[in-house]
Amino acid sequence: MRFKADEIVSVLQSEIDQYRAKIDTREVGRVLEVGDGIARVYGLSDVMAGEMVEFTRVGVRGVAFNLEENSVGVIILGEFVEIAEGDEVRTTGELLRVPVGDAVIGRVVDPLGNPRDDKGPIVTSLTRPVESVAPGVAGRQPVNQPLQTGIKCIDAMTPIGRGQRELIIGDRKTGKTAIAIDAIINQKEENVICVYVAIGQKDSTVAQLVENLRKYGAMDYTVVVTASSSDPAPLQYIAPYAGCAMAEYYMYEQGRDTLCVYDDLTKQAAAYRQLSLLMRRPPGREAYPGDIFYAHSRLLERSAKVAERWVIVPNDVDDSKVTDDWGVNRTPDGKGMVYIGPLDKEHAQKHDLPQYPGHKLAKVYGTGGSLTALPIIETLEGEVSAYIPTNVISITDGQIYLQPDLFLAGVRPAMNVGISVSRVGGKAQIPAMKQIAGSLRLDLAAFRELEAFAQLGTELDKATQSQLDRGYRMVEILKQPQFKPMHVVDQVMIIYAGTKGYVDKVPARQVAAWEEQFLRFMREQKSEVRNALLKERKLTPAIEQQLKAAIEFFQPQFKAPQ
Amino acid sequence: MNQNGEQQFHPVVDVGTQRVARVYAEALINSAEKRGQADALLEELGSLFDDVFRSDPEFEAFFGSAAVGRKPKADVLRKVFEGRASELFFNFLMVLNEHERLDLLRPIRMAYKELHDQRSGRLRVWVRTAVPLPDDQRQRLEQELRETFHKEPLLEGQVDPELLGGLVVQVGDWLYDASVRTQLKTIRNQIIERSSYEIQSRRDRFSTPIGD
Repeated sequence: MRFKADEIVSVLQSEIDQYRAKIDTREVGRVLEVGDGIARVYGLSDVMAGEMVEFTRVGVRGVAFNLEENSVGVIILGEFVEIAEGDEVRTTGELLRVPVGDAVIGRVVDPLGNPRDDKGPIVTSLTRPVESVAPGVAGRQPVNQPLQTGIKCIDAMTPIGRGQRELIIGDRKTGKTAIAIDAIINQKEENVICVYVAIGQKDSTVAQLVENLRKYGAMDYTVVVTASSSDPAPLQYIAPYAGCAMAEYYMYEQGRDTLCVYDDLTKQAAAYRQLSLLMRRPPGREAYPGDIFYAHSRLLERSAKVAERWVIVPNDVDDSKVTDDWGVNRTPDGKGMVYIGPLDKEHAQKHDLPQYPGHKLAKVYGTGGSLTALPIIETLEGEVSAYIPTNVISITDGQIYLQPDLFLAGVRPAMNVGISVSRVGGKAQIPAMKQIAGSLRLDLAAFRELEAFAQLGTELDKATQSQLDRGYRMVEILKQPQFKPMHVVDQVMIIYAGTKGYVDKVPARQVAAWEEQFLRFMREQKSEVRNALLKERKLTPAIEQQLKAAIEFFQPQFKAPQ
Repeated sequence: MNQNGEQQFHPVVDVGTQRVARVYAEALINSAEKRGQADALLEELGSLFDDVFRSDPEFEAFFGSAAVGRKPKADVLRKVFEGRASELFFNFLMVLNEHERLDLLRPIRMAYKELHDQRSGRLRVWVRTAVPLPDDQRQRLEQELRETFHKEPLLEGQVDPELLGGLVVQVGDWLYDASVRTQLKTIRNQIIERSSYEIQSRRDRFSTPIGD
């Protein structure tokens, strides 16, 4: 391809012709001192808290963080080594924004939206402010749809709903990130946009992780926001808010479901502590600033299930264009009637819709989106009563607690069933799972107790022994290798087989093989049972009969591995 | 326009010092106004720095040093300034010495200048131009500023050939930039931004299923 010089000249010429000179007005200040990612600036007397400022000489941006009587504390977002005392700082009149939308999907970006993956610039006109207010009471609706992580023990015992905040907590090297990554990989078929925020991690770890996501095809719907441990503290501090803004775009503007992983908030808290101490904000417990709780609560509060809005429209309208004022029935003040949330929808279906034959209930485009958050917290020596862990536990709607001794014993994911909970996800479970998983958690807890007792070497009666045997098999069934998320229907079938005692006769070491062969058998030879379950989403007596028959048919076919 | 205007825009680093200096400056200007000597005192302060300290910086270091006690400083002050400086100014220096605040002279001078401008309805404006400003343009600028801020503008500034053309006016923290350099920069960024947007959107046509 050859460039045409006159074409380029004409483009430039039109630019210059269109250029309207106007006086560039800005408020300026000067850097008094700079270092460790913060700067103290004299002047800027009209700057607003949280406003973005620019260091004009080096072109780096910052955020006004502390407004004091005679100076302004600015956190520097980028390289601060170039900035010198006396440099000019100007206000921009804007809040910090990041690029959002399809342009960032599949990319690895820093918290300001600059590419980190050598795939060219991110060019888009769509941006969102990094800090935004969470939806209020009226803007939300209860969590009612499951977010399938593809991990058996989580989907069965601590189910996560779309719009929920489920904490993953545990010591280092207990597989916290692995759970989050598997959950992301499992969203391939679920039409969920994922954002993975890496805070204070090694660049090599993040590179490995991106490689894995790419390998399993997950980068097609995932954004990775990274502020590595070599990035300045301000970037690590804003990273989760930036990632959240990218997910919010899909939740609010397109009504899509999104998943946001913050890996991990312990490091973000440490970065925020560093900033606050350098800014001379008073230290509190463990030297964290007084508003560390708010830093996490305002982030996690932004996860939501946005209320669905429904209107009654003629049957032939295009669903993807419906807006609030399309409703054919009017409210007393003449506006289109909008039904908000599930109760209103039910009312509309029962009472209002029958009055309009030839009409249907349509969802307003862009409503009903959700943002599920999986914050990760790293504990020290299993200490969940430390400051940051207790804070985040109290903010989230449940936690998945991972234990190193389980991990080392080969139980992976190393989830401690006894103290892991999900406060809202149960409502979102599919009925089939609810039916079989109801008692699973209590049984496992009882088993753990019994197991401890059995280790004393006492003689056990038959009932106890069989309970123990069942427990060992269930633990085996709930083990799952990494990068192998499982469809919820498969999960239901194998857990059903386990709880009904079909695996009791299989030696514990062969349970994994049994599971694999059984699921392959169900997929290849009894696909009608699987499909029926997929369609009905619950264990009707008929399906249960078929499933039982299928398991009994499979039992003799099982080949023990050599 | 004088060349030392820049000084005003290079503030003292220590914020706490500034606060103390302001208190002394306010006291000084109050008593100076009572005697109708506010202008004269400003000149005296200026002369102390421009004539005395500039030619003999060690003198300033002597006053600023904490190693020298109050007594020797007072003796020197008396020897040097008694009779030569106005009574008010001499007294002021003695009071400063009494409180061991002689090291604050520089910030006090700045605070005094600011207060003096404020009280007499004047506005210090810093102007940077690529070439020295001709008189008629300077008058127009002053007229313009007078109408905008309703204060008597005091132009200070310097010639900065890097601006290429136009001028930059700073009033307090606000900077009004009408220089050719900034405009060229803006147009450069605009062209880059628009072109990269064009390139990306054309590339997207091939890579996204939506396209056109």
